[in-house]
Amino acid sequence: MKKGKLSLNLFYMTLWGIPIFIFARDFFRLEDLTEIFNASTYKTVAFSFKQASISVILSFILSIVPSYYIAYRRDRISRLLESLIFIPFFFPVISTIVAFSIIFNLGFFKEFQVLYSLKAIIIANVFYNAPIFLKYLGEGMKSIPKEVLEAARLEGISEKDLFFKIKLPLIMPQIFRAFFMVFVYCFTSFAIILSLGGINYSTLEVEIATTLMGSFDFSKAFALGMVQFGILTIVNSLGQRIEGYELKGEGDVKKVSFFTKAYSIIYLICEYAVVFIGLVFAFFNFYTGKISFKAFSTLFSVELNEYYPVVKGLINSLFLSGIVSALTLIFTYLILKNYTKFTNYIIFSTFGFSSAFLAITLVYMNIIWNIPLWILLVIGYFLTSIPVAYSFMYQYIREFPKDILEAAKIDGAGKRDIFFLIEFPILKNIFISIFLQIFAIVFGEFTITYTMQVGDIFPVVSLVNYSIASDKRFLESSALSALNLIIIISLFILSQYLRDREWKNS
Amino acid sequence: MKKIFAFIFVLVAMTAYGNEVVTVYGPESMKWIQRDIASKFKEETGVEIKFVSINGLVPRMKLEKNNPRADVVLGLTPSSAEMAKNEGLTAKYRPKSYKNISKEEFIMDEEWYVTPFDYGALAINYDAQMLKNPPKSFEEISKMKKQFLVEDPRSFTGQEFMLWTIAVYGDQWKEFWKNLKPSILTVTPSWDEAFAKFTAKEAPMMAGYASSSVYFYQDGNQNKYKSFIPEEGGYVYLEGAALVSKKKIKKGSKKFMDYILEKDFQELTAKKNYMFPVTNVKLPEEYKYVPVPKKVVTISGKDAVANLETWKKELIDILKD
Repeated sequence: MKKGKLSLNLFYMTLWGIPIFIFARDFFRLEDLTEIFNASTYKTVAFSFKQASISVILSFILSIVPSYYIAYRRDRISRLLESLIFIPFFFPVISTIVAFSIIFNLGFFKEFQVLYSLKAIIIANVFYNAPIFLKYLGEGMKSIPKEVLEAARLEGISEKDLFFKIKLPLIMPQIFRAFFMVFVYCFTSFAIILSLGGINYSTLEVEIATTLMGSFDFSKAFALGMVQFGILTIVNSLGQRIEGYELKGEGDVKKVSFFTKAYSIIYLICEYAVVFIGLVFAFFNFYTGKISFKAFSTLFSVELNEYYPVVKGLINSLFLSGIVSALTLIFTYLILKNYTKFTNYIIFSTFGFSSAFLAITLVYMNIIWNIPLWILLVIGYFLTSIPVAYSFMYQYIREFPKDILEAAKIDGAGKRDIFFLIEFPILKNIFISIFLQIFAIVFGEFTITYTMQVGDIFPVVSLVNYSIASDKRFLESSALSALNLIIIISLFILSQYLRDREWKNS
Repeated sequence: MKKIFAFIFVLVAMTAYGNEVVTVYGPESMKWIQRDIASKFKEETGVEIKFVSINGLVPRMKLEKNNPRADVVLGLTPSSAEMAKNEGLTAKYRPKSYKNISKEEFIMDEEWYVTPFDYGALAINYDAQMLKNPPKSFEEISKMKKQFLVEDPRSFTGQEFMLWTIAVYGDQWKEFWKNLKPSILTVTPSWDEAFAKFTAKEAPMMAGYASSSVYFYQDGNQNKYKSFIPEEGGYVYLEGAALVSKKKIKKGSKKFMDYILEKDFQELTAKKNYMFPVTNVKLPEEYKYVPVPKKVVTISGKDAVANLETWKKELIDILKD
C-alpha cells in the first residue's frame, strides 16, 4: 500500500486520537471502566439498542414505497421526496421537538398518551431519520441499469427472482449504509429521548452527557464513551463485510400504482407538516398567543447588537462554515481518491462519537497548550463533518467512470490536469452542492460550540441566540431561530437546485 | 542614561499594573458584568475585567485545575461551592466589604472560600388563565393529575427543587415524591425545556423561580403567568463568588471580590440578574410582584454535597419506577 494513501487515514485518526488520548491520560481511571459494567449500564445499553432497532426497522419499512416512487418517477413529487433529506441533516432537532410536542398534545395523540412514552421517541426518530432510507434506497434502485434488468427478463427470470436475486443484492450496500447511519443517529439520540421520552428513558449518549455535566465525573463519562464507541465500531465492522458494487446506470422510468402514489403523497405531507409546524412556532409570541414578526426588526438594531452580537455572530458563523466546508470537501475528496480497505472503518467508527465529549477534549487542548479556541472549533466541526461529507461524496468520487480517467492517464495527463480538466468540470455542481450542505450543517451546529463555551471569544450565531434566550428575550430568540432556519433551508434548496441541474446536464 | 532607564522602568511598571486583567467566569445570564460593571470598575481601580460565560463552573474549574485561566468565579451555589472547596479549586478570602452583608444567615462558608452576592427563592410558576384556583401547598399540588412540570435532578433547577423538598420534608422526602408523582406530567432535562413546555400550555405549573415574575410583568403580560411559594416553606438559594486557587492571586481579583458587595454591583444584581441582593440596597419597582416566602427552609451545603449524588440517584429511581 502506498505511503500517501495511508498518511491521510493516519492524519484523520491522529486528529481524533490526540485530544482523546491527552484527556484520558489526565482524567481517566481504569477502574471506572470495570465499575460501569453493572445492571444500570446494561439496562441503558439494552434500551439504546431497542429504540434504535425499532426506529431503523420502521424507518426502513415506511420508506420502501416512496423510495420505489423516487426510483421510477421523475416529477415534482419525486423531487419533493428527495428533498426530505434536509430533515436529518439540517432541520434543528429543537424544532422537531417543539413540533412534536404540539402534535402529541392534539386530541388523538393526547388520548393515546403518546407524549413521554417510547411511542413518542420512535415516531420522532422515524420522522427524523426515514428520509435517509428514502435517499439511499431511492438512489440505489434508480442506479440499477435498465439493461441489466432487461437482460434478466429476456433470460425468463420471474419478477420475484428479479427482486431477490438481482435488485436486492445490488442495493444491499445502499440499504446497509442507510441502516448504519439511521442506527447511529438513533443509538446516539439525546434531545429527542430527553424531551419526548422523559426521565424513564435513557440512552448511552444521555448518560454520557449527564455524567459529564451533571455529576462532573469525567472518568466515568469517558468509560461510557468508550463503550458506545466499541458498540458502534462493531456494528460498523459488520456492515463493512457487505460487498459493494460499482454498477451504476440509468434506471427505468415507468408508471406506478395508485397505492404507491397515494402513499408517497401522504408520506410527504406528514414529513412536511412537522417542518411547517416547527417553522411557524418560531414566529409564535407565547405572551400574546399570536404570530408575530416584530422581533425581526430589532434583531439588527444597534441597541440589540451592543449587547448581543447578532451581526458579528452571523459573520463569524459564515466565516467558520466556509472554512470548515472547504477543508472538509478537499479532505474528503483526497481521502476518497486515496481509498484503502481501512478507510470506511476509520471514517465510520468516528461517526457515533459524542460531540459533547469531543468538545470537552478540545477545550482541554486549549487549556494545556493554548491552542486558539477558534482553531479548535474548526477542528471539531471538521472532524464531525467528515463522515457526513464522506457519505455524500462516496458514490460520486469512487464511482466516477474509470475509463475516462484511464484514457486521460494514457494521454499523459497528470493528477492535477485530471482533476482540473476532467473531474472538476464534471463534478463542479456536486462539489458546490456538498459544500453548501456541510456549510448548512456547521452553520446550525450547537452542541460543540455550546460545550466549548466560546461565545465571548468567538461569538457564533447559535451561541448568540442562546445568550439572547438566557436573558429571557424569547421573542428575539425565536426570530433569530427562524432566521437561522430560513438560511439553512435556503442553502439546502440551492444545493438541491445545483444537484438537479447537474443531473439534468448529465 | 540611568534616569532614562529608570523612567522607562517606572512607565513599564505603571503600564503593567494599570493593565492588570482579571478573568471572571460566570454563567451566561451574568454577561451584564462585562457590559455594565467592567468600565466602571476599571475607572475606580485601574483593573480590567474580562468576563467569560461558562455554564457548569465546577467541571470547567476541574478541567483547568493544573492551569487555571480564571481568577474569580461567580455563580456558585452552596453545594457547588462546597464541591469546589473540597476539590481545592477555590481560595480563602474575606472581602473588605463583608460587613455590608445584611444578614448573617447569608454567609455561605465560615472560612470564606465563597462570598455570597445574591439570593433568590424557588417557586411554582403557573399559568393563571389555565389555573383559576391555583394550589397553595405541596400537598395540594400532589393531588392534581399530570399538571406539574419538574426538572431532572441532574440539572441545576431540578437539583435545587429536590433540595427544597428535602428541606421541607426531611427524612420523609421520598414519600412526598412518591405521592407527588401522579401530578407530574413529565421530568424535563432542564429549566429551559420546562419553560418551553409550560408556555406551550402542556401543563399549567412548573418548578421555577420566584423572580421569574419580574420578567413575566416586564413584558406587559399582566395576568397570564404568576408565581407562588407553597405554604410549607420557601427555599432560598444563595449565589456566591470565589477566588480561584492558583499560585499567584492577583491584587485586582481581591479588589473585585471587595467590589461585589458594594452598592453599584448589588443594585445591578437585582436589575440584571433577577435576584435579591445580599446587602441593603433599594430594589427595582418590579420586585413588588415577586412572592416572598413567609417561612424559609434550608439545607446546609455540607449535607447537600455529602449526600447529593445518593439523593439524585434515589429520586431518579422513584421517578423512573
